[in-house]
Amino acid sequence: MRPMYKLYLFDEYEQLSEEFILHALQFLPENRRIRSLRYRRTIDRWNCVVTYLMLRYGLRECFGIASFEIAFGEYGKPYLLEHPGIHFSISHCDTGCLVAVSDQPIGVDIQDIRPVSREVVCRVCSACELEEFDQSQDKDCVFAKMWAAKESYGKMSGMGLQYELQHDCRKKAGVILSVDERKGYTIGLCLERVTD
Amino acid sequence: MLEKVKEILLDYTEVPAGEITLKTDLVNDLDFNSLDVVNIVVAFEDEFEIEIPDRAIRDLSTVEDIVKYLEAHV
Repeated sequence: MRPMYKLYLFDEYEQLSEEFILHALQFLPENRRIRSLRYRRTIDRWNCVVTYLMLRYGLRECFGIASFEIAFGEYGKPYLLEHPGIHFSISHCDTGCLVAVSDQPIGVDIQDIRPVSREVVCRVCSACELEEFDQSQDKDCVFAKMWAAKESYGKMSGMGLQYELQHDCRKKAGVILSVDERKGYTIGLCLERVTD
Repeated sequence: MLEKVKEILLDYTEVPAGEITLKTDLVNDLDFNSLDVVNIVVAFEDEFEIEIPDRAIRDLSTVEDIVKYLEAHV
């Protein structure tokens, strides 16, 4: 059985306006609306609104879910209160936002490609990852992919950053992990490997 | 300790120093993402010559959490 999943990606911020975001607020539940208005930076407020709209669209399109309530697990992993068999994951950064819906546990991450210090890389990467980083031409991009992989794995597992950061989750059995690079950002996707 | 913590945090946020208090939340108030948190953890490890275990990172959600952790481990 193959897991069913769908990704929704948005990075065309030039298409957005403050007027649109203010209009869209009416479609958000009160707690999300309050949270979005708390953000200091415009990009964070917009991402908060857009990701919710994409989640709403995805749940309806893929699973026919018209209304839902989000709750949070032990390590802060969000889940749908009344739809235990449906999973989702949300991520955003300064250059894009990403939502995944699935019938299996799923984790996604989107990372801006930005300068990183070797000290930080040493702190969170395995020896193999560090070697890969040191040998790469585009170090910032390579690290952004590694971090997107770690984040998406942490989100899929529900552990967040609770697992050993230096573990190379790309080699972990039982998961499907994919990373990709786009215009200025990287995307990580992690799914449980489902056997027939 | 609070002033030292604030000094390091200010390298990673645009939030004015006067707005950072013990109750300040790293994600909700300082706009940190998980990689920002790792960056500040590395900065604290350097500054105070300690190692903060991965499992402790999740518990550092406010400035007060950081101050208490450092006071207990430095």
